[in-house]
Amino acid sequence: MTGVFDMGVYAPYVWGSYGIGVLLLAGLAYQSWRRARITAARLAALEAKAPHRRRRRETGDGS
Amino acid sequence: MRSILALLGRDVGLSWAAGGSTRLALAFFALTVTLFPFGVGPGAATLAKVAPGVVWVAALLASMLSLDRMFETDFEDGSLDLLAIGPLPLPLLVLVKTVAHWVSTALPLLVLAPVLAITLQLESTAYPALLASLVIGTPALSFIGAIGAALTTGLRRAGVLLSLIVLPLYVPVLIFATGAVDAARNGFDTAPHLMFLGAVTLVAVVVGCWAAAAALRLHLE
Amino acid sequence: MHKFANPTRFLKLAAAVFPWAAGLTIALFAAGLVMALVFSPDDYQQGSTVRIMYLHVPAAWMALFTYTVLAASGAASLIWKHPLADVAGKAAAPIGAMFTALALVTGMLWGEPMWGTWWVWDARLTSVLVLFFLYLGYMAVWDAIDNRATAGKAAAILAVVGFINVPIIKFSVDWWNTLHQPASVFRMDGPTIDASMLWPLGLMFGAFNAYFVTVLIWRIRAELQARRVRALEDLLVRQTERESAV
Repeated sequence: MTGVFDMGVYAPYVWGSYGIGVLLLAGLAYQSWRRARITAARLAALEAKAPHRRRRRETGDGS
Repeated sequence: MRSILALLGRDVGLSWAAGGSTRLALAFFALTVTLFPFGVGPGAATLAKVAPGVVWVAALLASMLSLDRMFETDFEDGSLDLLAIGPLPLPLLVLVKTVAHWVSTALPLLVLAPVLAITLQLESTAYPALLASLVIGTPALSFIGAIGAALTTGLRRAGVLLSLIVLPLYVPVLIFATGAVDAARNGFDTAPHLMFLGAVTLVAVVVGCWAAAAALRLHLE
Repeated sequence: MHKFANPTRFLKLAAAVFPWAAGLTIALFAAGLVMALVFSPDDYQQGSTVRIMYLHVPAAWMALFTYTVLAASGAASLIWKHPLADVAGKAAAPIGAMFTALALVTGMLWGEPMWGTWWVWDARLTSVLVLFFLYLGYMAVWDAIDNRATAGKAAAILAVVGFINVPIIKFSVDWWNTLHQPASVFRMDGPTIDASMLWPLGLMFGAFNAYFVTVLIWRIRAELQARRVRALEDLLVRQTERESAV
C-alpha cells in the first residue's frame, strides 16, 4: 500500500489536481444550491403576497 | 430565379459601394498580414513557414469582420421581414445572402492573397494549393458565419458574441486549408487535405442554410 | 395546459430522484477519493501522477457527455418544442463547462511531470479546449438575449450546430496532430488498465454522474422558480396597475 503520505516528487501535481477538483466541484454545487434556495424563498414570498392569484392559476391548470 | 439574381446583385452592389464592407475587408486582410513580419521577424525561412497560417487566419478574420452586417442592416430597416414573406423560402434566402457575402468579401481576398503571400516569401510551388484552399474553404467560412450572424441579429454587442460563436467552428476549415498549403510546400500530395476541406464546406452549406434560417425565424416572429 | 403540467411533473420526479442522487454523490465521492488517493497503487511508469487520471478521465468524459445532453435538449426544444428542454440545456451548460475546465487543468497538471510541459498541442487537449469555447458560446447566447423563449431557441440551434461540429473538429484535430506530432509526446493509452486502477476509476465515474444529476436538479429547480417569480411579478405589477386605474 502506497498512499496519501507517499506521493513522492509528484505530490504537488496530485494534490494540486485534487485541490482544484474539489474547489470546482464544490464551488459549482454550492452556487447551484444557493440559487435554488434564493429563488425558492423569493417565490414563496411572492406567492404569500398574491395567494388568490395563485389559486386561480392552479384551478386553471386542472381544467 | 430573377428574384434570386436581383437579391444577389443588390447585396453585392451594396458591399462594393462606398461605405460597404468589401474595401474594409481587403484593407483589414492586408494590414493583418503586414503585422506578422513585425511580430515574428523578417527572416525569410520563418515567414515562409508561417505564411499559410498567417494568410489563412487573416482571411478568416477579414471574412468574419463583415458578418455582423449580413442580416443586421436588412433587419433594422425591415426589408428582412419583406424578404421573408416574399417568394423565396428562408433557407434559400440565407443561401443567396451568404453567397453574396462570399462574393463581396472572400472573392476579393483571393486576388490579394497571392500578393501578400509573396511578401511572406511563400514558395512558388505552394501557390496553386493556397488558391485552391481559399476557393474551396472560404465558402465554409461564410456559411458557418451565417449561423452566427443570424443568431446575433438584432442584439446589442453582437460582434463579440458573433466571434465567440463562430471562431471555434472555424477550426476544421483552418486545419485542412493550411494542411493543404503546407503539404504543397513540402512536396506532398494536397488532394486529401483539399477533399476534406471540400467535405467541410459541403456540411457547412447544408447546416448553415438550415440553422441560419431557423435562427432568423426566431428574430422575425 | 401541458406547458405548466410538464415542469410540475418533472419537479415531482426530481424530488423523488434527488435524495438518491445526492446520497450517491457523497458516498461515491468518499469511496472513490479514498480508493484513488490511498488504496490504489502507483503506476510503474507514471508514479503517483496516475492518481490524477481518476479525476481527469471522468471529467473529460463528462465534458463530452454534458455536451451531448445540451445537443439532445436542443433538438428536443427545436423539434418537439418541449418546454423543459431549454431549461435543461441552460442548467447543464455551466456544469459541462466546469467539467471541461477541470479536464483541462488536470490534464495540464498531469502533462507537466509526464510530458515535461504544461501544454502540448495534443489532439485531445486541443479538442477539449475547443469544446470549452463551444460551452462559452452557448452560455453567452443565453446571456445576450433578454427574451427567454428566443434565447432558448437560439441556444438550442447553436448546441445542435456545435454537436454536428464536435466530431468534425475532433477528426480535423487528429489529422492536424499527425502532421505536427511532436517527438516528445508519448501515447497515454498504451498499456491495458490494471484491475487495481479500475476500481477508483469506476467509482469516480459513478460519482461524477451522480454529481451531475444532483447539481442539474438544483439548477433546473432554480431556473423554473426564477421563471415563476418573473411571471408572478409581472402579474402583480399588472394587477396594481389595474387597481390604481380603477
